[in-house]
Amino acid sequence: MDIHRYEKVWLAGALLLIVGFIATVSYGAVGAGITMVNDEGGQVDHDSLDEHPRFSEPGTYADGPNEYDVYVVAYQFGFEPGTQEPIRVPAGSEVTFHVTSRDVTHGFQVVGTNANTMVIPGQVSTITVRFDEAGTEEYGLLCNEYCGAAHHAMEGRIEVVPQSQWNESMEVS
Amino acid sequence: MRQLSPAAFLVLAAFTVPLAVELRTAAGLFGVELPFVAVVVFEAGLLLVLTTVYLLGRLSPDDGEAATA
Amino acid sequence: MATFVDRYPAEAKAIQATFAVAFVSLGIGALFGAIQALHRTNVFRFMDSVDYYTLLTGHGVLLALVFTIFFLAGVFQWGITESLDTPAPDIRLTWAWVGLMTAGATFAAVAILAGLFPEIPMSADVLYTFYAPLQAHPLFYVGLAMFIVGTWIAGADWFLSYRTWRRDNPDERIPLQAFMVLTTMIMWYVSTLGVAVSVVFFLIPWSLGLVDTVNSLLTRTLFWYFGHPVVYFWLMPAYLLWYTVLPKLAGGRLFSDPLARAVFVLFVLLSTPVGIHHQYLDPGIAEGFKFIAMTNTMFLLLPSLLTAFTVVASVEHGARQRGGEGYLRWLGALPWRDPAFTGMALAGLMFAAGGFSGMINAGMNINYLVHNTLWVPGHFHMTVGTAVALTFMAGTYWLLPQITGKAVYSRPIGLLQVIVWFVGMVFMSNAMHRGGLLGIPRRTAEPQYANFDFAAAVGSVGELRMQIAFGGVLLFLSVVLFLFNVAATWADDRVGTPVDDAIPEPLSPASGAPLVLDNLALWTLIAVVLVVLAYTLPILSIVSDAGLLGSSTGSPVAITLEAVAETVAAALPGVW
Repeated sequence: MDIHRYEKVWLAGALLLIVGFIATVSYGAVGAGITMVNDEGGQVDHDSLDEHPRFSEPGTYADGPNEYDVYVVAYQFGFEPGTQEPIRVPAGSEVTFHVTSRDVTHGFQVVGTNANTMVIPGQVSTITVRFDEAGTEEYGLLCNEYCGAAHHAMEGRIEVVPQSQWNESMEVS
Repeated sequence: MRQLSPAAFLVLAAFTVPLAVELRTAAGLFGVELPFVAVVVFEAGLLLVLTTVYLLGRLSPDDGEAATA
Repeated sequence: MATFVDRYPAEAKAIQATFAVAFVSLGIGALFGAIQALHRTNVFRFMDSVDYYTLLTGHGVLLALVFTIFFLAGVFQWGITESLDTPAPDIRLTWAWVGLMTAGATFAAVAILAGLFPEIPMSADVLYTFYAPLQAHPLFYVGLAMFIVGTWIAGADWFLSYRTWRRDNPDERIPLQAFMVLTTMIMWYVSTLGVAVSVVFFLIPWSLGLVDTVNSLLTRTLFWYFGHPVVYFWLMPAYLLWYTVLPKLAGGRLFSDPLARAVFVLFVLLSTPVGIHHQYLDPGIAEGFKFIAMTNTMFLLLPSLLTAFTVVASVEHGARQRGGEGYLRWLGALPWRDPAFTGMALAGLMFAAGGFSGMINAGMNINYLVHNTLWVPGHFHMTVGTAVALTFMAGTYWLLPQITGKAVYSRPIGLLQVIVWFVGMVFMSNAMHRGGLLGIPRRTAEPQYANFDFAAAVGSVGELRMQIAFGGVLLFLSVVLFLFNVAATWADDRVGTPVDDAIPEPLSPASGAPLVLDNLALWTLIAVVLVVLAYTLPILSIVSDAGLLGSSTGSPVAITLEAVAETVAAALPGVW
């Protein structure tokens, strides 16, 4: 097959670009340690979340020094916690969000950040986020997967509380 | 000045739009924040240059170039 | 002077029918798009936001499924008939699939549009992806299934044409356009399997109440098994036009037939085992499967990058045939007056930008920043919305005279139309990309929130909204001009104007292509193996985790204002 010289150069360049992209993504995964949402969250029965040890009382749980687990239930049309009362996490902590849905598929996005995940009924999405803020910060929370007629009203807040003001009443015991 | 056909003029005019719009994005990459009016001014400038080239091509075409329809 | 409609009048009639359905869908879909652009930006709202989702479902289904695939059917029928110089084996079969596809599309459209009328107890406000547990009326799913089966029969019709031709031409290379049709359909058969299983075995019985539950992650995964290759089903007819028609429009010849074949073979192999890249942020799927989907996706860039080279080289060749000289000055020698040429050239240009934003989407961990934001529609309006849709409109200007015998009503309007499309899309998709990076979500009727504002990096969110509204309106105007031009052409009488429908031989002919490229059975086999490798383990894992039928009961989407008000009032006392 007769391939023009320029075409060979272009083909080589294209393959280099492709390999380069794979390399940068691999670096992100292995080097920078950005884990994708995966199957480690396990499954739950979305019809009986009120019997689940954690999702029956969603909120912030202490897990170790500066490590917290936040359990969130998404529903039509809000987040619990998040919508009626904000999700609270202390500044300088590492927080693992465990998010599931009571009904349909939702999205969970911390606005202006890369904390973003799908929320599928029966499945638990886990993402670990570092909150490096020095002082008080507030983030918006929104559902970015169409979930029904009032999808656009589904929103919430995350409050990052300075360490000095964090007290255990903000956690679920 | 080389002649531009009316169609080529139109296509080049269309092409000035992404140039003007993306100028602001590109400036942002270097930390330069341009207001929206900058896009309008830049676009107007590009169109002015283009129109000038077009008119000059019509009024004083290069030798040996026949007028294109 | 004889053209396609004279040589093949029966096939031309069928193609006219497919184009008619395509263009009606285009018009309705574009109207909905304009309304959406004005509504979500808060520039002009005249309906309740509940209806936004009905229109959005209509926009997606009518444009991304009905318009694109009916147009493909017309182009492919033309391409296979013309390049094999063989009539359809049985024109009744041809009309059968046209009829089945049309009936299916109509059923789905009726189910969707019924959602606008609360008096009718039928709706399908589930969007073009119809993720369970959101549940539509069974007519929606049945319509889609009929539509897909119709496309399968169309493919069979074209393979039968090929078989007839092969009997009379045992030793010849498959003509390029026929090769493109057949390879595209092989890809289609492999890829529609997933969504067909989901719809036929799960969603239809579930919506009819024959089974109580479905596994939401499974049906979603089966959709995306199909959801990525469908974009190549849209692209490959556009590539067929870029490879075989655009060089001729530019005044030249296709640079290389063998490389065009290789590109289409790559699409057969790689289009389907990548679907999980639409599920990078899904729970229940291990990271390893996502990584494999990512590497496959990156290699899928190759055929498109190769296409860029061949298309530009062919166009440059044409320009030089027309007297163009120099490193860049040859661009001026191209037939910019011709809306068919200019439309395809602008579409190709925009595709380059759209391809780059697609590369971002494919970058597994980068996807966190853009998933389900407005960036994603920004990307696909440049790819399916321009590379495909604009090429189809431009191609129509060249094809319409051949299938009707009538000259296009107005070339200047055609030229204006394609340029307005390009400009409108620049504004709209630029704003969508920027908005997405701020976190503005897609698929949302009112992305204006009570608890927070989006923080713009350059400029303000208000400007982005204006840009989207402005761009969206321009796009709608462009479609109006296009449909006017097509309708006026059709309505005119034929006056026997000569039609230049000759397609020259490529510079590098088919004889230079290795014979193995024409081995369709081999490529089908490899494609199937790759799909099995990519999907068996993830699907087994999803089924073993939550069961084949899962536990998601249907969530019919509320279509009454009262129901919505109740739900919202119950859910958000803290916010209001």
